[in-house]
Formats: sequence, C-alpha cells, structure tokens
Amino acid sequence: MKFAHEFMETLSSSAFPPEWASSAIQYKQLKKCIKRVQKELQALGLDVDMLKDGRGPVFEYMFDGTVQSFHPKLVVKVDESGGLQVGWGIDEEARRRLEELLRKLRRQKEMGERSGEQEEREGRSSMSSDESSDESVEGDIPHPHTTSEIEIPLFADVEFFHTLTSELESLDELQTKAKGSIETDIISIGDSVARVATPKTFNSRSDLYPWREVFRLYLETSIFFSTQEIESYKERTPEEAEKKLQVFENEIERLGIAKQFKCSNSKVLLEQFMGMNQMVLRVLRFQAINKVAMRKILKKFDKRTALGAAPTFPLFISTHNFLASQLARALCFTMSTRILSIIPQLDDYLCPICQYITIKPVRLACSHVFCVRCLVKLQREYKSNCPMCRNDVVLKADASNIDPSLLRFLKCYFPKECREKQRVNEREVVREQWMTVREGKEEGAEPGCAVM
Amino acid sequence: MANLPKRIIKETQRLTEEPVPGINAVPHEDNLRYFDVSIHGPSQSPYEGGIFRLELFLPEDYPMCPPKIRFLTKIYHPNIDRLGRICLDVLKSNWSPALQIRTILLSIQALLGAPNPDDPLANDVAQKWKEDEKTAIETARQWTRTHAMS
Repeated sequence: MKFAHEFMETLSSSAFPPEWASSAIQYKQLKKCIKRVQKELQALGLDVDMLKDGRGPVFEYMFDGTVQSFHPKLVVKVDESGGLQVGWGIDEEARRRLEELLRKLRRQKEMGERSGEQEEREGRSSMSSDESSDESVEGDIPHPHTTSEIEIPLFADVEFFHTLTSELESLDELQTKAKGSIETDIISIGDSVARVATPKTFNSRSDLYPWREVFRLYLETSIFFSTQEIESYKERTPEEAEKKLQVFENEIERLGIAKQFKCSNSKVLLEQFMGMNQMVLRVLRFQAINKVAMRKILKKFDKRTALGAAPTFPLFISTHNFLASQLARALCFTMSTRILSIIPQLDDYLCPICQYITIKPVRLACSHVFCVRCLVKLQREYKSNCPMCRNDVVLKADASNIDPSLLRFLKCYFPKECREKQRVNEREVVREQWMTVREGKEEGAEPGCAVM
Repeated sequence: MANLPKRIIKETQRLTEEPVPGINAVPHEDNLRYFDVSIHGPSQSPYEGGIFRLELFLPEDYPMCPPKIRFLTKIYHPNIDRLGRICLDVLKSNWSPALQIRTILLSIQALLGAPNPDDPLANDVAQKWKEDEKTAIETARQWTRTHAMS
C-alpha cells in the first residue's frame, strides 16, 4: 500500500510528461492481478504454505520460452501411478484434493495432447527430477524415469506476466523515443555552440573562453558518472546526479559565466544545455522508479503466491532493453563527442613536466609531446630517455621536432595560456642568466658587465 | 614559497582532492615542498594493518630530479635501511620527470607488498630474508605491530 502511494506521488510530482506517466508500470492493476492469481491458486486447493513447502521436490515454477514469447508454468512432479511423492508433509485432506486435481488434469491432457509433445515433456521431466533428487530428504524416491510432470494451468498468472512484459515494452519504446529526442537536441546545441565559440581569429565576438569554462566545470562535476578511480567510475543514482547537477548550475551562476558571453545566442544555448541535462535526469529517474516498481510488485507476487518469481523473472528478462540499457552512458557519450569535444580543454595539452601548456610543442620520435623549455632542460642534463616511455629519443631532437600544426592550433585556441607560458619562460630565463653572472663573480672570474 | 612552480601546486591539489586509497600526503604550511606522508601497509603483506609515516621533500630542481623520501616509522624490509632510506630504482637512476608524488608513493606501497632481497639496502635484513623467509616475515609482522600500529 505504501509503495503504491509513493509511486503515484513520484510519477505525478516529478514533472514527467503526461505520456510517460501513462506508460509507467501499472502497479495497482498488477496488484489486483496478483489477487486473482491468489484466488485461482486457492480455488485449486493450493495455499501459500503448501507451495512454499513443496517448491523444489514437488512443485516447480519456471518461465518457458523466449523473452518475446513465453509463458510461466507451474508443474507438479508425480510418480507413475499419478500419485504424489510419499512422505511429503501435508495433511490428508489437502493431499486428497491435490491428487483429485491431478487426476483431472491428467485426463484432460490425455485427451487433448498429441503424443509427440508428451514424450518430449517426459524426457525433460526425468532430467529435472534427476537434479533435484539429492535435495530431497526422502529415501524412497521413485526412480527418475518413473516420475513425470503435470502442468497446472494458471490463467491469472499468465495474465500477470504478460501485462508486466508488455508494460516493459512500452517503457522501452518510450525510452528509445526520449533518447532519440535528447540526441537530436545534443547535436543541435553542439552545432550552435561550435558557431559562437570559434576562436577569435575567425569570430571577433568569440565566446570560446566562457564556454570552455562551462564544459570544464561540467566535466569536473561528473554529474552522471564518477570520473574518479577511487569510486571506480560508477554510474550515479538519479538522486546523486540531481545534487551534482544543482552544484554545477550554482557554480555557473556563482562565476557569472552568463555575463561573460558576448554573443546574445550563447545565453539561450546555455539554458538549452541545462534543460537538456535536466531531461536526461528525468529519464533516469523515470527508469529507476519503474525498476523499483517492478522489483516491489514481484516481491508482492511471491509473498502472496510463494511461486518464487522475484529471483527468477528478472534473470529471465535481463536482456530486455529497458532493464539492460545504459542510458546515461549512451547519452553522455553522445554529449562528449558532439558538444564537449567542440572546445579543446587545456588539460589535454599540458606538458607532463611543467604542467603549463606545451608551447612550443616538441614532438619526439616516440610521438610524446613536451614544451620546448622542458626538453632543453633535459638535453642540458644529457638525459636521453623520453620521460613518458624511456625511449632513447631526447638527445636526438632538434628544431625540426617542433610540431607546427599543433603550435598553430594551441595559439588559436589557447591565446591567454600561451601568453602566460611565454611570461613564465621569460622570467625563468632571466633568473638563469642572473645566476650564471653571479656564479661567475663568486668564482673570481672577470666581473664582466651585468647589463644585458 | 612565493615561487612555487605550477606543477607542484597542481600535484598538491590533486593529492588532496583525489587521494590515492591508502596513501596520504600533506604539505607543511611553512614549507610547501615538504610533505608528511603516511602509507597503509598493503593487505596480505607482513605490513598489513600498519600505518607507516614518511617524509618527502621536493628539491629545487624537481621535477628534473626525484623527490627525497625517507621512512620515519621503523620498518623491517630488505630494501629499506635503519635510517629509513629506500632502495627503489625510480627514486634514483630510473627517475623520470613525468613521474609524480602520487606515482612514486604508489611504487613505495608496491615495494612493501613485494620485497626484493636480491637488491638489498639493509644487508642484514636481506640476508635473513633469503636464508629464512618465514622468520623474516614474522619479524616484519612483529615490527609492524610494535612500530606502525598505535
């Protein structure tokens, strides 16, 4: 009762589009269906305790067929004479009723079934009772080949699982549609951002820097996934993602990024970007709540019927798209290839030694890139191995190793960072020259002129 | 420490923001090149359960030259001597300026998990380790209990 209420609340309060709420798992309807299954079982004289005790040695419940077309079935193992296994602890009355039911079913079966199918069924049944024979405590179990199985038809049960799977299918359809529409949004936002954020050389009102900051923060907040090794890159729950998204929005607000935009279009695009992320979050939340609903309804099903579907049904349909899909992963992948990659991030172009931008970039024979200053320092100390891969390439490098296209690219996309690195280099050179002059003095050599 | 290189600032930041499991490194407030380090003994090693304190100093030339690192907690290990000095190739000849504080500390943690008595620094310990590994490991465990757990 409690969950049904909570489920309805979440569906109506979370700003889901109306067509989503109607595709959600029909929890109440399924609950009614469970009642019908229960009644059906009772009418057959099978109560919960009896099924609970007898599952395994006497009853078996399974899903037969494929995910697309299956039917759940309850079978009873009987010996050759059609009687139940001896020693199973139910009272005489119940046993008599069950045996009566089995006789009836057996008559129906004999009348209605073709012989080929029967053979097949019996062949299979002998295998399954083989497996279960060591679980059974009875010493006088009849030989495997003398037992057979009789299926007890449960109409409400079939209805329950077919309703549940068809709901999963419509959820899947909805999710595919939502994913498609988000992807379209991603591509269109990406194209527009690419236009407003082209470097200044091509666009005098470039919003390259503010947009880079937006995406840097976005990546750093890692909203839908963890990007930390310590958390093993796992997917976040919708609640965590919601908090992270809020942190991201607050940070954008705090830094006043919207005010830095020069293109009027950028502000609108930023709102669209935020809206798109909210949409992803909604889809995730919807998926999560429906998964919970399915788990709960199966648990309820088991409690009322003791058929044991909660552990087996999810396994049976585990390949179903709705449950298996890694929606967040797929969308984040599209986002990173279609939007985030438009603007190069500084982290990808840092010299691994000094952690400044690799200006000027020297590409060694092993294809590792360092800034020219760090490379010169290595050469001065006669270090011959590449710091990254230890190949003997450092001393072989010369001016021809400067990568001209990377240099142009960095100057174009990171003008500020290039100027900063330039200043740092100049300061360092001055200090080095001053040191050599001073050392010269200390060694008592010709004082020389300190003016450069 | 006005002129702390960007590289050191960035490394320090990442060490605090994304710490390596079982490793902790905090710079001194008055000398940002000097770090207090603690390393948890790796599981399934005789150092398991122990927390080992180390000191780490980044010389002026860092990262062109390796950081200077020493164990402060007493430890019974063939590649660590009684003064806490460590015999590890990446701290000496195999240093690369692309290595970082975090990678070096991971190497040290790995060294605790895989002692190498064939390249000893503490000769007596290495000798014991080779002659009677079982007793040596028991001694290491004993030392861990006495010195690294409190």
